[in-house]
Amino acid sequence: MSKIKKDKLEEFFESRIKQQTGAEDWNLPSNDIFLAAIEKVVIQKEENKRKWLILSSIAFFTLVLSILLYISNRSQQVNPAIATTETPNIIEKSESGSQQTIQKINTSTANQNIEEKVKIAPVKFQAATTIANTKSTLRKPAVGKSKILQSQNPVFPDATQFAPDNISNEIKSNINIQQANVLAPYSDDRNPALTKRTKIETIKLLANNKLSGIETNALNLPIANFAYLENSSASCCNSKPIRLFAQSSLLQSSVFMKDVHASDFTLEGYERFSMGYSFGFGLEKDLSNKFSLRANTNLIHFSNSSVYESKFNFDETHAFIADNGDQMYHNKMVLNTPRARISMSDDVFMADKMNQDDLITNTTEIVESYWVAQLGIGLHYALYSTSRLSLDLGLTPGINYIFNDHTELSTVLEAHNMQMASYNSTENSMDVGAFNQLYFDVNSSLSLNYHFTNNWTLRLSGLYGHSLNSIKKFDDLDSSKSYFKTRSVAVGLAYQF
Amino acid sequence: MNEDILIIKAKSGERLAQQDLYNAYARDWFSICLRYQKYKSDAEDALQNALVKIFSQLRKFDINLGSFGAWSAKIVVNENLQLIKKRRLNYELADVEEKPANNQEQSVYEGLSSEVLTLMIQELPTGYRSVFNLYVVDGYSHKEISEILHINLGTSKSQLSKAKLMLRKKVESIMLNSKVS
Repeated sequence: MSKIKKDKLEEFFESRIKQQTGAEDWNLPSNDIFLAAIEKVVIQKEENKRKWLILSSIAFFTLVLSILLYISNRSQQVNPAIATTETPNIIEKSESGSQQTIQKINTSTANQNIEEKVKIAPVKFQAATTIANTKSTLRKPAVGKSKILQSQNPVFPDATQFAPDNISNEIKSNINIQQANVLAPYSDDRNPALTKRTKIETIKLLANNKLSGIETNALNLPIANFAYLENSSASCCNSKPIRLFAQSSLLQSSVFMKDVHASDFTLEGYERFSMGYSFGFGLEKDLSNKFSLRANTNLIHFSNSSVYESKFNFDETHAFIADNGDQMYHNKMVLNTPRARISMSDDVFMADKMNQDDLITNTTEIVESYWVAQLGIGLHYALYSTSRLSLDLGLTPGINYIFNDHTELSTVLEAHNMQMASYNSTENSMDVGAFNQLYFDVNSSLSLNYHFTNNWTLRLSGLYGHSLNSIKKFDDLDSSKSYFKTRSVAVGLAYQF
Repeated sequence: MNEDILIIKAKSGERLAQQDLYNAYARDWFSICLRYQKYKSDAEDALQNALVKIFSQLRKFDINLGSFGAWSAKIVVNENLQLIKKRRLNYELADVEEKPANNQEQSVYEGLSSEVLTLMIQELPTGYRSVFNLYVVDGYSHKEISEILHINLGTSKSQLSKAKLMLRKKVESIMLNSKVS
């Protein structure tokens, strides 16, 4: 506010109004207003407490879940169990494998082939060969699987032991080179605990002789190595990877109402489904071959429409003539909607002259729309599963927070079977005392998953959801309860780490 | 009881202190509501909204930074404007014939009470009433009013001018009635 130069009329009004002269109680409000306000303040405080409690619970829950997922993820990266449980297998298989391979490498021709194929190997493999020659790429004992491959792989020691005398040192050297070639891709200075996927893929490539062009047998690569890696591959799938997914959906929503016992108004049409949409993301982890856990957060926009009708008598004290000469009516009413009650106060143009106590019918079309933030954690059961396709059934309880609502009202007042007035209005305010901003719901889903690569999955889901607690707060005046129902089709993409 | 102590007690949620604070300021607050709203029932709604805000935000009020009266009056004005906005009352101009001010009117005004003046203001169209109250009684500039009400600077000035003109007309009519009677 700033100092303004005022004329005499303005100065007079300012000073006289502040004097508050007049009848004794012309500006004395009822104490009931204070009591009602204080009651509302108390309700608001309780609401805020509850909101913070729930939000902090969600934050705590999310934190705990994140920590668990993190720990789980770490333990799958470095899994000492692989080294201890699988080692005997490897040795056993390697022994027989090595004998087979050694027998095959007993001519200089084979040796030449090897040399040629090593030469045409991709650059990174040649680099690895060089490193292998210096023995630096062969990991230290701390390196779980590389260590196993190197120190417990009996192929080469055995090969030397059982090798016929006519195998030259050169051949042996080449054998070592080939071994290094195979081992090199599994070594990683930055991450000694190699990702299973990298290993599996590399082995598959090698096994198919596509990467280096080296024939497995000619290389002296023991079958055991592949057997081991196959085992690794199996252990990979048991270690339950985490998937990140994003999804969006088209949905239809409606309201289910209970205990509507109104005698002075009717409310209809709320059970009709209206269109909406949602988008969100989440994390997913397999618990077993059949069960998986999905935590997701979504932003949902949906709406519902209904028609409210009531009758009241014309009150001529609310009628007045506007400055432009129009007949106006101050229409004040409380409107029951599926969400809450809305107090409306409008000066409306009257199309017709009315008499005291004439019966007026108020018909208002109500369109309520909401933005909802949803957090859900669901359990999914795989009904059918192949390497490419899977079908699962899920049940996801969720907590929802309505953070924006918007109500459009289109009112028609009729009297003597003629339209008396019509007007549109919009309510954007959030009256937290009128409805529950927080509500719980449960969503059931049926999802078809198409694993189009090892990492990526396309998901198509059908969902049906129902809120568990009433959105509308009920009191002595109106004991009706309302629940949201949603059905949706969602498309999502999941990425497996 | 000292007002500062009353405020501190009300901040801690003491119901009696809140009641005393209400008793002390109720007239001021309700006068503002009556000036801004056309109907008494709307003024009561606005007062209730304002009270909810005042008592729920009381902990944010710092006694050292200003008077409680000014702080609470600002909330009451804002809540009244919010209610007007919520109830979709617009700020369109009504046709009022321009007429130069008469210097003789000052003496007529002297006989009018705050109550009568408030009733006169209540009869103004919503836009005029809001601009007149904000500018004349609550001391906002046209620039501030244009920002608060989201209207042009020119509209604010024009509405004030027309509000004053209408009030003068009303005064004239009271004068005329008093002469006749």
